[in-house]
Amino acid sequence: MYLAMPANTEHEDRWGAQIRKGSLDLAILAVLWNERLYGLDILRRLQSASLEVAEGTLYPILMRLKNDGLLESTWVEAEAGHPRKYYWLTRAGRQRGRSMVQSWDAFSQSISGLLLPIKNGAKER
Amino acid sequence: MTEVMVSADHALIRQYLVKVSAGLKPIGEDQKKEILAEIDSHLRERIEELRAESEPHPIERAISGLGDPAALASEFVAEAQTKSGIHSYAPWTLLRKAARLARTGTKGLFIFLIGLMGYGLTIAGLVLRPHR
Repeated sequence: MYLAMPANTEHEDRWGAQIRKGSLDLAILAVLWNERLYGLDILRRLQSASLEVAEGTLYPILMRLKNDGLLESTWVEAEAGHPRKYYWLTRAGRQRGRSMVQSWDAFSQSISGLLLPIKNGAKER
Repeated sequence: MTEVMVSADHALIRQYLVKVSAGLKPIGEDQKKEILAEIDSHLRERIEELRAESEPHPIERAISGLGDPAALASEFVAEAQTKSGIHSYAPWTLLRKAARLARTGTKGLFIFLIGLMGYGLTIAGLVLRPHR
C-alpha cells in the first residue's frame, strides 16, 4: 500500500517501505503533538515531510492508536457540510511519543556508528 | 450484513462503503460504523478538493485513492488485532481497559461490572479461604 520511492532495486524499495511503516506510528504522534487534526490533514502533514503514506494505510493505524488509548477523537461539524473526525494525543500518547523518541535516538546513534565505513568509503577496492 | 448508516448520497460512495463493510465482519458493530463514517468523510473531503482543482472524475479518483475496498477492510481487521502499546495483562491494566469500555455504553458497563465482580470474588476467596 506504500507508494514507490526512488530506489535502485526492488529489494531496497521494500526495505524503504518497511522503515517507513515502522516509523509511521511515531510520525503520526509527532504531527499531532501540537494540534488537533483530521485524517486528511494528518496525511498532508506526513506527505509534506516526504513520508508517502497511502490513504488506505493511515485510517487503520489511527484506529489502532485510538483503540490503544494513545489518541482520542471527536466528530466536528465542518463548514463544508460533512463532519470531520479530529484526533489528538492523550496523556498516554504523549508518554509513548517521548519514549519512542528516546528509542529512536538510541537506535539511530548506534546504527550511525556502524555506518561510518560505508559513508567514508575510503577502503573501496 | 450491516446497514451502512452514513449519509452516502452518491451511489458510487455507497457501493464502495458496502464493499468495505462486507470485509469488516470480525470488527464490532460500533467500531464498524465509526470506520465507515470516517471513510465517507474522507471521500467527501477528497471529492471537494479534486473538484476545486477541476480534476476530471473526482468521485472515481477519490475512491481509487483509497484502493481496493476488500484490501482496505483487511487492513482495518489486521490493525484491530494488533497492539501498538506494550502488552500487559496486569489486573489493574485490564480493569482500566474495562473501565474505559464501561463508558461506551450498557454492554461495556456490564463487562466492567462482571470483571469487577470476578476480582472481588477472587479477593474474597483468598481472604476467606478455609484454613486447614
